[in-house]
Amino acid sequence: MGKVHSFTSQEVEAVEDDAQKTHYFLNVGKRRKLDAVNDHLSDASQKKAPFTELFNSRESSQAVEKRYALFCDVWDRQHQKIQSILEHANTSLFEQLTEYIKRPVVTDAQSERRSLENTHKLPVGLLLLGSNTANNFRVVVDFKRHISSHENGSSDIRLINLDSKTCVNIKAGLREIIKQLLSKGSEDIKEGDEENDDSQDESSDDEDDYDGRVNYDFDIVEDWLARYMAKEGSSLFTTKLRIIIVFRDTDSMNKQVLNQLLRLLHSYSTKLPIKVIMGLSSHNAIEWVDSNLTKDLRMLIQCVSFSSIDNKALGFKLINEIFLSYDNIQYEPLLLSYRLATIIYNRFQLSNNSIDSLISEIKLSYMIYFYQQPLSCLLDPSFLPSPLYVESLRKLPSFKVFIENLIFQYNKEKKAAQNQRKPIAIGDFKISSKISDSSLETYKKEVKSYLSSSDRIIDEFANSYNDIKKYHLQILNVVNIVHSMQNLNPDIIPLERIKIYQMVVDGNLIFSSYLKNVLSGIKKSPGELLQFLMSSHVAKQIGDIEDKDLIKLKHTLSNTYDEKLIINAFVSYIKSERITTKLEHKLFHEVFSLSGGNIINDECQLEENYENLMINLIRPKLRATIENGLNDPKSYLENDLIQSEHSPVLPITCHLFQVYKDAPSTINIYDFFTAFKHSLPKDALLANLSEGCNNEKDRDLIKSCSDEDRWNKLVYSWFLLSCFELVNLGFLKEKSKNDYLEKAIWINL
Amino acid sequence: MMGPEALLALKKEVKCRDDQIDLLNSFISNDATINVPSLIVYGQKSIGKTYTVEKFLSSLGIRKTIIRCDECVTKKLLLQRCIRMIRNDSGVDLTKYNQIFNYKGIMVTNFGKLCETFTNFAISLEQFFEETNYEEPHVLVLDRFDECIDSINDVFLGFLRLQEFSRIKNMTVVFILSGDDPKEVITNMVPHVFFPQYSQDQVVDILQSNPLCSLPSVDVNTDNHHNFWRQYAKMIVDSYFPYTGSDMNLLVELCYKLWPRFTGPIKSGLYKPSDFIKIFREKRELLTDSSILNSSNITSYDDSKSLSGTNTVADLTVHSKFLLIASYLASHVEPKYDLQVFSRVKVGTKKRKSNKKGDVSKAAMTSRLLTTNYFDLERLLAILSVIYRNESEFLNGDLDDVRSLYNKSERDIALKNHEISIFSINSNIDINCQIATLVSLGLLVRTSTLDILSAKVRWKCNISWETALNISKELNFPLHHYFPQ
Repeated sequence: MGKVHSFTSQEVEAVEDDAQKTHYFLNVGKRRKLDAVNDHLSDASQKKAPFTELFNSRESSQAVEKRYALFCDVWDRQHQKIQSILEHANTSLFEQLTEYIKRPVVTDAQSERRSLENTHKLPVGLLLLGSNTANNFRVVVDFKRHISSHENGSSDIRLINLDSKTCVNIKAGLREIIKQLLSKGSEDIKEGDEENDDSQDESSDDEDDYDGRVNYDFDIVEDWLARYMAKEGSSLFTTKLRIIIVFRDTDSMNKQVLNQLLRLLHSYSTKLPIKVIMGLSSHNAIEWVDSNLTKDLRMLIQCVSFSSIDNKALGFKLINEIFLSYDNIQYEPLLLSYRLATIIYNRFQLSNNSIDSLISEIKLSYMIYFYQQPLSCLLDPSFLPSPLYVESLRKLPSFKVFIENLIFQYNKEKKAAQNQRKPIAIGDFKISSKISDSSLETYKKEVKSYLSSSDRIIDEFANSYNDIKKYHLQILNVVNIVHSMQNLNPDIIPLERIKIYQMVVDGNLIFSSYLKNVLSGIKKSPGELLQFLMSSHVAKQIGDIEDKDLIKLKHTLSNTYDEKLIINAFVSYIKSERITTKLEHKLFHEVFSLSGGNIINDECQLEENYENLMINLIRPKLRATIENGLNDPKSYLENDLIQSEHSPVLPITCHLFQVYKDAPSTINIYDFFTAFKHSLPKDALLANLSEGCNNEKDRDLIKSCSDEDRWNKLVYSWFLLSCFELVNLGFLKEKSKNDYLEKAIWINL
Repeated sequence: MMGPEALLALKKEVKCRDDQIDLLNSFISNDATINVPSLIVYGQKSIGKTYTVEKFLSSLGIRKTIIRCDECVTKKLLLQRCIRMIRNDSGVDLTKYNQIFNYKGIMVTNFGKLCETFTNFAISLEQFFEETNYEEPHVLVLDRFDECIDSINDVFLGFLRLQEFSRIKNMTVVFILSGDDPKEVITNMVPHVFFPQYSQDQVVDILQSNPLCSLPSVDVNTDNHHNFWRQYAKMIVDSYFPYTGSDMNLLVELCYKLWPRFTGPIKSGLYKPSDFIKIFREKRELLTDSSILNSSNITSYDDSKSLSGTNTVADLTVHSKFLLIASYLASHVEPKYDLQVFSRVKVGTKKRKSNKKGDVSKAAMTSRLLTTNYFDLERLLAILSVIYRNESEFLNGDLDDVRSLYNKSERDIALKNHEISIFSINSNIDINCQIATLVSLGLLVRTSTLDILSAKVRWKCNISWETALNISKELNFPLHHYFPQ
């Protein structure tokens, strides 16, 4: 019984925790009992990778599993990184909090003070969190975990979680506190020694009727404490017990209730070891307290503020660790494409700074890559590509560009050779290159070999794999150097690493005014650059991959002290062709870059309009989707699950939507109704309805609807229903005079 | 009645409340037959009402029950507590006596369900008094009776008439109020004891006789300490009395707050406790520091971090900030000016009729001084779309970058301009998420309707002009441009 109880309470908690998330996951019920056949089936399906066979199902199952394994491998590594960052993000805060909690509640100084009444103060910890409520929620949950994971001290700390939903009024709040406190107490006893059987009975009795008190009477807690301390043999001054009341979303709570609760807790704080921790969505403790608590109450509490790590900084730290760390070069060669980098950066910076949402974006990008890119197997050098892969490598756009480039070169040289043969009119014109026919022939053969020999392709792929690793290292070095050098110029608004990366990958850095400012900063103190290059923040070599340009730069710089030379060397380093090449111009970049899935016909110029599959899944265009759905419901309705061969009729609302599209901006309701009525295919609808009926009675009923009067009534009811649906979807608005409807028109949604 | 010696001792302990103690003494005594059935003690906040009554009762040595009514959430809880505490304080051996209550015709032994009504309470109490033959005089003190969270005015009347409709004759109920009598009881003839405010001298006297803080124990004689405290208390009262009045809590609070900073020089050994005047001269600015009165008791756990960090709106995302500005504009710009302010349409301004009477019309006032108006969500989104397209750095700042001149063809630039002209931030459904966040942060307010399906929810912005101005500065947003002339 005890186990079942704890399980359900956990589940309830999980549901509550879910309430504020932006994304939800379908959990296959753990407790659902599957019969033997299902068991067998699920086992079989578990063994199979959840990816489908690509190449029009010609992909071998080993390759699918390989892809899945690669995905798991890559994501596991990234996930571990994320977890360790998140776990350590708030460690110092949690340690401070724990220390604060463990401090004695009533100190000797305070007990002296009590010569005059009311001078005792309720200790309140103010947790200064950011404005993102989802992140704040995570911090509080993490704290709870932190407390319970430190087993040695936890038995004395009773953490009580309150939020705006449980504290709609003071009665409910108190009831919740008492419930949580006592249920925890009894759990502990159940888990503890078997000797305490009698006390277990006692406490379970308490749960039922609280010793004859109403369930929001706070004296219950006082009684409970007296028993607890009698058992422990301690007093209020010496007890290690702490009752910690955590308000996790203080800003959404009713302020009156909050004030009342704090006041009440204050009057008990002389008798109980109570501490309150409030999670605030603000960084300014004074302002918050002054504007939310009454003057009297402010005198009754002693606030201590705790500041948490900046949420934005944490997000960028995550991005840096995942995409811009040197470890990636060896273990995980995927480069972030320009577009995906822009999308992730913009969303985090502009519209949604939730960490959880960021993580799901990243995960989805990886999933999309491994799910839809059959060539991802080639990332594992030990994978032996079949002719299918070679063929498909040849079909990549970047390879086509590569070949076209070669042919262009060939044609150019051929022309040059022909020119050479012609008698040259101007005497002193000299041809710089001497091209013989034989060399042209070999060139031709070479191009041909790309198109015919599979070994050649495989070799070229290996080369470009190596090349991309070098490129990766170089880019990271540039990003690191520029990022740290930007601080030298105080006029620059500092950019995040990902933003610099985005510029480098797009080949835009050298054109930007930002770089100009950075250079002027370096001009002022070139020594800093030298120092940074010699430090361990840049890597000239990772494994067997070298950054030759950097080595060259270091070499040049170490020999010179001239300002100008240093700047020149640095500029030529940054302008070197390896670095300024766009990622999109690299051969086989499709295989090596993480793009989050492409969308066809996406010709956006504005960064904020950029789209890819990932962002389209996470943040679809709501209005456009609804309109499309209403316009053409087939994409939603015609799937295997609900498909029926004889359903020529559209859903009723779609009919109304068609009429709505042709209507003027203000619509007379009667006109609207008449137009709607005429747009309905009466016979087809009725036939369709009667087809769906099982018994004779219903069928008769529908038959009788063909009578004009009845039909009108039926259509009118449909009309009203659909009208309300459109109103709720935001397409129509009721005018205050009721015989008109107004179209809510939105351009460009 | 208390003897004159005991009275004198009490008056010495409880200062400046001689008349009140005399009055209490005449109403309450150890003889139940001559006690008043109920008594109202009233006066302003924290001027020693409860303190005096408690001290009086304990020196009288009468059985008493003190209930702190502001701790009782509901009426039921208050009555239950009364019954429980009276039973406990009565001195009746509860282990031998088991009261069986009549709850809706059922006999019960605990009173978890009792006291739904006052009658129920009275019956139970009467039963207890009768069954145990409890006849000692008993005083029930209902402290802060008017601060109970539930409305309890009908209970007030019930308590006043307790002796009329029950057989309990040996209980006196003392109500301690900080305001006037509620209208339900105003016609009842109940003796009142009024506690006037302390005068300034009295306050000084009281504070001086209670050394709340002590100096660090350097080898100085206690006399000096005492003198220092007396001077300190006088100084505090003299400087803050106009602000605090006779509110002892506030004064004590101020004493504590200023003490560590004021006595800093003594701790560091710079001055001796006898040099009060010197310390006063050095620390004079403390007394004029208004932050002492305003700020609450907040300390930062990590000393390196400042308390007054950025405010709530500072770390919102860019879109949220635009939303806030849009909501501010929607609340403060009248819809009739929308075309003029937010569109490219040229609107001929009508000549307004001159107001001969000299009244200031609503239109003539700065709209930000007027109350915020409610607006429809659609209007907010429309305004947001316009101001974002016009002012956002992400749409307008890119042209500064050299690269756009280098690698963009004319066609590209034209395409981009076209895209800007049709760009709307509202297609981004994160906006809805952010509106929800702003509501939960209390920066946007919405009307609540009973019908959750109704589309008629109206919204209002809940930020001040200063906040809006701060945000707009941060975003380089020309807020002034968007107010009609």
